[in-house]
Amino acid sequence: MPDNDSFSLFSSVKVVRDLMRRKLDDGASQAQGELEAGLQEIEALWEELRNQSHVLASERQRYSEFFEYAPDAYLITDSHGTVREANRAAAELLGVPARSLEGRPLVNMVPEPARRDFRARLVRASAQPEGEISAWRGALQGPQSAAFQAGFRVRALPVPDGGLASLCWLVRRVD
Amino acid sequence: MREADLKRIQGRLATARADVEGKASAQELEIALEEIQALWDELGHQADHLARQRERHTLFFERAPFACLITDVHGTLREANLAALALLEVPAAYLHGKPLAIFIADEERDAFRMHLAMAVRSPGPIEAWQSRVKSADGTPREVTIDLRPMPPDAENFLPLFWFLRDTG
Repeated sequence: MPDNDSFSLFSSVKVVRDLMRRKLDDGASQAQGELEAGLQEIEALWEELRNQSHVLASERQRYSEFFEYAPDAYLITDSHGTVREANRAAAELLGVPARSLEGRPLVNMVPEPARRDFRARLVRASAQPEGEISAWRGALQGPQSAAFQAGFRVRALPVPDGGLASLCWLVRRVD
Repeated sequence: MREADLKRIQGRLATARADVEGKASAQELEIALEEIQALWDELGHQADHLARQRERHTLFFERAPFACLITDVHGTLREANLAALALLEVPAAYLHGKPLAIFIADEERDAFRMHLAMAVRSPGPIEAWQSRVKSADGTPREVTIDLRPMPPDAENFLPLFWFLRDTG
């Protein structure tokens, strides 16, 4: 795990630091060699951390591109259906910029008569066991577009330590 | 930027080292050590943030409520999300390193290869096409395939994303 690797790197740099500090109080001739070794070690650790960051950044990039360029509308909401992230297809489907969807409750984009049903489905989707997908059809309406029939597929994401529950949504126009 | 910081600190340490016999620059060395620690802590926070973001985006892939597979330019499978595993009815360990073509129905393989070649030749949107996949036990399923080439990553790996929609 990257976290553990990072942790071991931080421990290592502390070891080097303590070693160098101790040598300050020791005999000067010994201190010179220890300083040399310490500098080399810091350089090696630095290089390691930099490589690790490149790998992490590259992987994050790949998965965020997957999200962004998925051919269908893909949204991440909290358990109440408030949008946290939305991809390009979602923005196109609802006719608004993706950023303007963030913070907006999805239910606000459901025509009034269909809201009660939508809320009930949302509650069920949030409560379902991890890994299960809830699927249903219902009306949806972008802020500046006409209502249309949409197919929803919703799955709960595992709750991270100290984090909040999230739902991921696939939304497709079906009419 | 950070490398410049490291170089500056190294310079300071080197000066301190040259003088350390007289203990004249013990304080300078102490400052350099503090700087290294501060820099390292900052890098640590950045790495943690990156790791959390990567973890979060990995989940978006793995748990997406639609099937997606990642192959290289030869169509060799690198990753598949849970929905893809369910669609093909195979465990994850079985997929890695296998050609995606083995899950495409025989009569659909020419079209599959043609689209793969198109995606590799000219990275850009390719129109989705109807196809048929077969699960590990040979059961056929009608699907729509949406193939999206992605930009190469830092290691020059050009990932192809295959979005499969069950239309049966």
